[in-house]
Amino acid sequence: MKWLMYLYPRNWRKRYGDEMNDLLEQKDWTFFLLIDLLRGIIDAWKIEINEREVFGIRMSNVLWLVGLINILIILQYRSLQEVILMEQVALIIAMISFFLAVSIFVVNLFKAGFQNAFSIKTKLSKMSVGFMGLYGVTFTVFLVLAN
Amino acid sequence: MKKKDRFSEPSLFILISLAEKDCHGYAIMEDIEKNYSIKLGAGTLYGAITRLEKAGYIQVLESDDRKKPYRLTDAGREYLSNQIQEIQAITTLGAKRLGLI
Repeated sequence: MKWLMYLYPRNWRKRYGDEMNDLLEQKDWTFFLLIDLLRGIIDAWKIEINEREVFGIRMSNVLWLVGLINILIILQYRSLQEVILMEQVALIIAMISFFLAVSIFVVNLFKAGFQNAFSIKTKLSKMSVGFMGLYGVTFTVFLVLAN
Repeated sequence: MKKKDRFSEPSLFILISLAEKDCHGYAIMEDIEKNYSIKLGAGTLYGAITRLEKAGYIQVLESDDRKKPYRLTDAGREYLSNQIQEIQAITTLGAKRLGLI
């Protein structure tokens, strides 16, 4: 279960990783501890995103903006009232994938630097490419179903 | 008016633990479990420690050991005193209204 530590932001791991690993070694693994760690990961990322800035704009605001754009796109397609359930599902998966791909890319841009963010050397850039691929596939499915 | 920092219950427990002596994470966790019968998970503990450290209420002490002890800062002591006074005022009001005092 120690691999869960790798889901924490890198800066957080550098600062608290050793201490937390040491503490976890002294505790038995329980379901409560697992849930608590997952909550801790979300919390740590929340702190990280609220502190980081992209071109002077707080990263949390950037993520809100990307999310809002996705919602507007979904609402636009919903208003047509022509798409059937499968199309909607494909579109929602596509938009979520796109959102995740962009979000992970932005996070990676700051974690790994400009050059590495455009390569597939890091785990995050691989994830970002994966989500972009999923976006491409599901969006193509949507277009096929819609036509 | 400056927005007042609000911290969760675990953060207050951590500050109270450190008010007595400098402690590392595991000792804080044990102290909380012993005194309040609350099992604090490692995720919650270090989430609260991160926030308190960023707020300047606690500071880490240099140590060669992997276990890093934490110390309550002057700002942390002042914040904890204010919080305890607030809690006291609330409990006094509650007790009065219930006719307990």
